[in-house]
Amino acid sequence: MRIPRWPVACLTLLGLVSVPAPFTQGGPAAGPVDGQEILVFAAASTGTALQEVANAYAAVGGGRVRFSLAATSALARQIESGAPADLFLSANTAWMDRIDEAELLAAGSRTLLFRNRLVLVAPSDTDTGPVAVDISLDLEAMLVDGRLAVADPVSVPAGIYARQALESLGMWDRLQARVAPASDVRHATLLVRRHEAPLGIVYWTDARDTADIRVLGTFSPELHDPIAYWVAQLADAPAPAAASAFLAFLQSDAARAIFSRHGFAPPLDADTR
Amino acid sequence: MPTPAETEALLLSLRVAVWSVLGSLPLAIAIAWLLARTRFPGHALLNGILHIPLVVPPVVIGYLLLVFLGRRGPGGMFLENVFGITLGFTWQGAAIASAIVAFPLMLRAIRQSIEGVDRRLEQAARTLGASPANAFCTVTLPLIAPGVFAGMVLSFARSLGEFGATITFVSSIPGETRTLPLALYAAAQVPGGEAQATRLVVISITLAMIALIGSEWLARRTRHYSSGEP
Amino acid sequence: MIDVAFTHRQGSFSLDVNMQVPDSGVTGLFGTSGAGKSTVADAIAGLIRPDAGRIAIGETVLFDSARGVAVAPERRRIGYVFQEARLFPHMNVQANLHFGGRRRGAASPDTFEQVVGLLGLEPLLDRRTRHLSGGEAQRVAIGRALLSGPDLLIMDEPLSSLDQQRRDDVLPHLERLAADTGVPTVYITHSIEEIIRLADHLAVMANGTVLACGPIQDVMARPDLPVLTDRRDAGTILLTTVAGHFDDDHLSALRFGEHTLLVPRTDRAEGAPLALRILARDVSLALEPPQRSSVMNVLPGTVTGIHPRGDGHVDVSIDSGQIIRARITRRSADDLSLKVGLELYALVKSVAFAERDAFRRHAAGEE
Repeated sequence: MRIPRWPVACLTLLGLVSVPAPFTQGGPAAGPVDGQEILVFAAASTGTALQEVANAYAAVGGGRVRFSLAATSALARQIESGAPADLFLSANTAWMDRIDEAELLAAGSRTLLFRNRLVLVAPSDTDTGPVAVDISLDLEAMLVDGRLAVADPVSVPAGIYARQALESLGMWDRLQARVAPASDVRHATLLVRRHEAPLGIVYWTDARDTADIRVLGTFSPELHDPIAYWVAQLADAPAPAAASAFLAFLQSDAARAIFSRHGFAPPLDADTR
Repeated sequence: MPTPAETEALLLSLRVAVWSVLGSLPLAIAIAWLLARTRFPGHALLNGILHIPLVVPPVVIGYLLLVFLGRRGPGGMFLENVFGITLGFTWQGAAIASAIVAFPLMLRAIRQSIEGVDRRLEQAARTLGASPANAFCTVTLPLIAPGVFAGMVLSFARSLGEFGATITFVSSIPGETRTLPLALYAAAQVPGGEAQATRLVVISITLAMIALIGSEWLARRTRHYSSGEP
Repeated sequence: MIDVAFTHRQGSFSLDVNMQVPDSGVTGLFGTSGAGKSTVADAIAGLIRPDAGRIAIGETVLFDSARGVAVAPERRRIGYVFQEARLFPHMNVQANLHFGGRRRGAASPDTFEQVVGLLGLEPLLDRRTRHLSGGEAQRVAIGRALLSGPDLLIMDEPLSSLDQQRRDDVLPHLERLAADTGVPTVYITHSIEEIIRLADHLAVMANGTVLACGPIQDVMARPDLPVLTDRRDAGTILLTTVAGHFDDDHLSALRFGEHTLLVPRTDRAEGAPLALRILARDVSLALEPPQRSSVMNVLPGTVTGIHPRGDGHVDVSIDSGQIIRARITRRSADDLSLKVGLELYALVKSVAFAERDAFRRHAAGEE
């Protein structure tokens, strides 16, 4: 059998690109605390902001921080299976609850870091103007024969919040069949960008970062559970002291300024349980 | 017994896989013949392009499909304007995504079996009055039947397991595009969804085993037929 | 007349073929391997397209580069029997036999019966092709080609892939075919025995060109074709008729012209035609008829040609009504003071039979 050579070449190239990544990110381990770098499991949507915070942390003499970015659900399952993470940043309360109940968190370390908002978006070249998101909203009419892009309303947090909001507005029963459940918020955003769906409900942080889409309105926070981003130190953190130091820095004013710049709002008192 | 939602996902998976296989089969045979029996400028390039689904992540295929065959893609606009067809969020779109991801597997199996057919038999058929098309249908095609069948089985199996391209291109609509793997993924995303996921895993494996055993049985019969066993 | 004239270049090998073949009987296309015989067959059948030239069967033009004619192989009505049988492995014998007929208007049941009978295929009809011996497969292939209603049958070394026993199994069928079917046949081979048994015309090829083409006894008698004369079994062919039998002595008498030959008893009836092959090395020469010799066959004749060979021998052509050739040493030739026109006696020590029906009409025509 003749094996085409180019796929091999591509794979080799992929290998070259991906393998050294941890080394270039981590570099020689040197920090004021423990002399160790730490590993943070974080929801993918927070990646850009977190890297900026880590850079600021390094600039003030903090230790090295590496990130493993993925869906919250995937990270939580890895932690349950004993992944050697120091901190866990969950984009969702349920998964953090589950880790908490499994007693995998360092006592007293769980903190509400920031929150997010849901927005109604459309492709930027549609002529729909801003709308008031309340019971007067007629999404069905706005959709015409298209679908409403949301993250999966059963399994993905962003979709669950969207479903709660539409339920609060009394629209869910009618809209349920018009939904296009996406694999995550970014995917829902993509469906709107590509005009596959004329409307979508996504996080504000994704909407403001995405060209080609326009925010038509914002869902009031009372319409759904708090969109809370939790962070906690893990009970089995390999570098506990360094982890505590970065956890503290995440709550500093410097870090909050960065998060705000990326659209993540500081927690409301009502969000805290 | 499976719940109605599970049955729905199961039947949808079967429908998508069957149409993906049947729809891509004629094209796979034609292209396999072209690659096996002719040389033309761009031969290697075409071969390479057709193998892309084998090496890039299916999510990328899904994204490319969205860009090309979506409402605003050139292919999608053509289909909508000329035939009034939209593929987005439909099971037909899922079948196309599956077909593309599985295409290289089918193509390879068929191409190899065409390369294994003695061209001199086709020549003999020509001297006996068969046109090239007739020689292909009555001599080549029966002789490559086992390879075609193997390609169909591989492609069917790949379609049953297709996830990334499907969810990206047509999302995960229950009853329309939520096939077994997509339902499984959704179940696994929910805290406490393990039981549901396990049931779907059992259904998937059962389906795969039935398909595999059935295809082995059929393959034996096809081999007998085309090798001239009584 | 079948007219084949073309040039073709294949890699570093180039052909320049020009031959006219009668549109009846069997024409042997003889040459060593690599002479280009199969390329000629492919060109006639349309499986390759020559660079230039013209190929026609009678009025039917199959290929004419000047006029841009190139009939597709499936429209040429050329029955092609390949070296290997090339039977379709997914069909049984019967389906293989019907393959051509189905596409060219089915042969009549009578024709089918005739071909099946001629080739002895009845017991094989329901067999799968993989269960056939090489000889059986080749017979089926011949039947398949015949049943496609060909204007011309080409057989490309149909026996070369068979062992001796299988050849002996197939050859009689081929002889009967040549006599009974009336389909003109080009028979390609590098075996002189097959040529002598089957062909009544002969074309000789070497290095991509046709050196000679004509009735077999004329071509065989030519002294200037090394591919024929350089063989140990070089010789000529005599066309005779059976004149009578001497049962007590186990001998038969054969006549050609005014001469009689005594040969080992043949079972041919009186008056039957019989072709003889006389090898040059089996013929010696004498200036006077030998007295009291063990050689029974002494044929008077005139020297028509003396052809010195490189190995100390000389080939001498003698016209004794038909051409006989003797291969003698140069010293003997000098002793006899041989020259063209000299009258002498050819002493034939033994003969090889080439009995077959194909010579009937030629032999009859000669007498």
